[in-house]
Amino acid sequence: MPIRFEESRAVLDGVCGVEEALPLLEFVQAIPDAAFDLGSCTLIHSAVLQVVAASGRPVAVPPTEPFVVRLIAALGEGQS
Amino acid sequence: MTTPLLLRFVAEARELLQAAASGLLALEKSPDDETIINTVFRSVHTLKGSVGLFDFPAFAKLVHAGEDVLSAVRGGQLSLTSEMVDLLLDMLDRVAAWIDDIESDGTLGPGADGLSHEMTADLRSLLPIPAGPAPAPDSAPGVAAASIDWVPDLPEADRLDAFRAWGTGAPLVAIEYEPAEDCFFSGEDPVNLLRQIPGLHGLEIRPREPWPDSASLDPYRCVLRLRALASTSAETVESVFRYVIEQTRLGDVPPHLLIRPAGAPNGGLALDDFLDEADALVEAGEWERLRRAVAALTELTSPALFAASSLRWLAAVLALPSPEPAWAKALIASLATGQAQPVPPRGTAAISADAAPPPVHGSAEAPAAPLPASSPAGGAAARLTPLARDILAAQRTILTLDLDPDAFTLRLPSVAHTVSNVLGGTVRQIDLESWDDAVESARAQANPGPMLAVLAHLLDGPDDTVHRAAAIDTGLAAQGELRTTGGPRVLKVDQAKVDALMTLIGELVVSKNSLPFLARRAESVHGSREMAREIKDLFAVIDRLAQEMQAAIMAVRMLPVSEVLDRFPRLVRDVARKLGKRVSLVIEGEDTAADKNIIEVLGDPLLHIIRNALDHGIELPDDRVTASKAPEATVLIRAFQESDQVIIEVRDDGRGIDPDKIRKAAVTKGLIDAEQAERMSDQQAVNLVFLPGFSTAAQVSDLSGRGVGMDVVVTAVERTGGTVSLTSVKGQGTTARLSLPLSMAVTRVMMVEAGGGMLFGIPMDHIAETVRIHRSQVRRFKQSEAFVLRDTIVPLLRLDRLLGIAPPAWFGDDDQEDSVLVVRVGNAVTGLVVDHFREGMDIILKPFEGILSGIPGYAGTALLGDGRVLLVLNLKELL
Repeated sequence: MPIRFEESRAVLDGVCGVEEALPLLEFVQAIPDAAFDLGSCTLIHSAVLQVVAASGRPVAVPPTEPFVVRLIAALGEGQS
Repeated sequence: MTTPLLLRFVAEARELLQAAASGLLALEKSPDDETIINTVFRSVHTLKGSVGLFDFPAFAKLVHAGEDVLSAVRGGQLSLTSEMVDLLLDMLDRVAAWIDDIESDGTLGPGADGLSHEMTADLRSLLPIPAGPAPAPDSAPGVAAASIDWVPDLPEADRLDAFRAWGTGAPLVAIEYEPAEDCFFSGEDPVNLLRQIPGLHGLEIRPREPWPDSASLDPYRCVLRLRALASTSAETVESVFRYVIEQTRLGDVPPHLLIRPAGAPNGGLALDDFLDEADALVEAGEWERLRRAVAALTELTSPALFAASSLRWLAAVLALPSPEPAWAKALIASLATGQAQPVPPRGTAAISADAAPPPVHGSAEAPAAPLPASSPAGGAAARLTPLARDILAAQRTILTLDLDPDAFTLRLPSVAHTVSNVLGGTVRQIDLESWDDAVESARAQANPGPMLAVLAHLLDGPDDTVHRAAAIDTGLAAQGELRTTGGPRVLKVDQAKVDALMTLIGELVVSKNSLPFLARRAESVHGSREMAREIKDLFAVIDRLAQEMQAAIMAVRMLPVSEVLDRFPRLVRDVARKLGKRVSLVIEGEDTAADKNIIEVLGDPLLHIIRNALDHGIELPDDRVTASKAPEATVLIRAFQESDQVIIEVRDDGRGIDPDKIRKAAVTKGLIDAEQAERMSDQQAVNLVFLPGFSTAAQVSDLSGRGVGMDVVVTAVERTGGTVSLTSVKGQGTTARLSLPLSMAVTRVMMVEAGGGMLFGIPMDHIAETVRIHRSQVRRFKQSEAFVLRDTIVPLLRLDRLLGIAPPAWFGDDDQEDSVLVVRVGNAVTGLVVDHFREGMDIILKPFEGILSGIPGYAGTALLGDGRVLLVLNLKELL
């Protein structure tokens, strides 16, 4: 499972495909102070990225994969 | 050699040529009509596209030259003259001749290259600038370019990167990509598509609408809008986005838009010395010294400050191989004022700091250079003509055939070549490239997969409605009316299929006719009156249906007379120019419809009549003025329907026909004797021109009067069962009137019995009356017989003898009566002795075919309700 949920952290690990979008959204809906850990995410599907962006929750651990870094930066203020 | 593809091309090309030619003529009259010029251009353009599918370089080259000329006319660089129209018409003629050649043997015929070269040179010489590349007709105007006003808002680092990349010669392109909402369901991952863009510098991902709260978010509905700035060519980006090209917009980014310093206020930084020096250095073009000064100052400045940002930009500008003074000045002005100053586009005059307009925030408001539409946004499928689509679909079928690897390798080159040709003619470069790539990888894998994928994209692209495809195929949709959208849907059917339907209906009519026989049998043989009545009821129903069906099929075969009339404007123009006469042709009622066969027959007689009118009827302009007429003559072609006839009148206002001259000429030629001539009314005399071998033209001209007279017209028209008449008023003009049956499908005949029970049909329009005469009333003159009918001597012929059937033995006496059918053939009345008269009926006449077709005396056959074959006589040949 590319996404682990650890208390209030959603840890995105490796390749996060489209099928992760729904569990991630449900997690965000259930945990009010959820934050994302993108430290080891290597590929993030648009749908997942959309959940990250729409939730407005912080990215607690920034990504390291250059393109993912770029994508998160492209979401604009308030995301990192 | 003639493949179905080639045949379709031939048919399509003919239509296009016709459209182009008539358009050109209309254009000559109203050169500023944009609709017409677009039509002509589109026809020629489409023709050029289609011919690209085949290996006819001479053809393609010539059409291309024509297209360039038209394009220049369309773009207003050239104004259309009669000479140009002549040249263009010549080109169309040449091409039409080639089309004929292609149809007959699949080649252009000898000397095509030379001809093409000459005409191409002629056409090109018309072009205003020495044959510069014509405005690329393939770029669809009106394609939305990406907006670029977000570019200055990208992070400074990204912009600096992009700017430096531009400095090394890379083009800058802005990409705006709005994926479809349901794109996740089709397996797309828009964000990661951006990964594939080489030279990606800036990225901005925003929702198209404000994010809903997370409770109502639909994670599978994509609402992202992706914007990216890349230093690469638009073509490369297009190939990355080739599957979603219609959701993507591209725009060129002028580099000055990138330059926008931003940061914290300077706060009492001592810049005055630098500023004084910097302006002077820019003026002097001492870039190296300025560079050093900038570097020194940068080290002293905190990176977060606005000034630092300005300096970074200044450094970037100065790092260019040839720094733009205006940019440097604007940046120095920004440094001085502490606020971003508008940066002018490249190459504009430098604005000094004092003259600078009030500071603006964000160079978004800076003058943006107009964006050339670098990419057509329509889906690839939208740019294919129906013909091209068919070809591509055929190639796809070939690829999907179950083939062993060897056969595949054999077929691959031909498929690859065909598709490249199609794409070369109709689609953009980008598709061509992706195709070439696909071919390469298919060759490597010995598997058609990659090629199929490209074909699928081309054929099933999101914009694949045929209507739009047809409308946009020439890339002119934005320019005017759409050719196919909204119009009635038209189905092109091979005539043979309609004819087959017609034959079937005919057989249905015949079988239906056997029901009354059956009813009679039911009554007489089986004695069931009840049964007979039921059969008759049924017959009535089937009869009605059959008639309706027949009418429907006939309607399918109906064509407007414009089919034949369309070529006359051209003809009249050319002939009139050649003869030095001024003629305007007016066509009325071109929508009048008639059966296709009739329409086809009509062409030659009309041609003849019109040529005659132009050659003999219409006077030279000076003569017309002398006769106090307008120098420009009028030829009116009027078509209309009158009961079940189509009437076509050709009226000219020329010198008319002089009946006396005709009489004299006819006597001189020995067609009639002087006495006959004397007795004739003027009207009759005028109609003498229809006699075979009659021609009054004083000299044989190039156009008409080549010894073939108006009798050709009569023969052709009468073959369809029509008539021709000529009325003329001396000095005022001549009217030729052709009347033709609406349809040749159903013939009304009267059945007669002759030769002891044999049945023959005689076309009803020949029959004047039926009489019974006593044998004693028959007069004999040597071998011939005659009788007197209402004081007129009518020659008498016996049908059985005419047909070579042994006459029935003569029994009995003179009290017996003969049945005589009085028929009128031409102007002669003849009595035809038959055994018995039978009923008249509607039949579907089938002409003799094959070996029988040479037999004179018969018009054809028809099948009777009881299964017998009826021979229908052709009285003209028989008598």
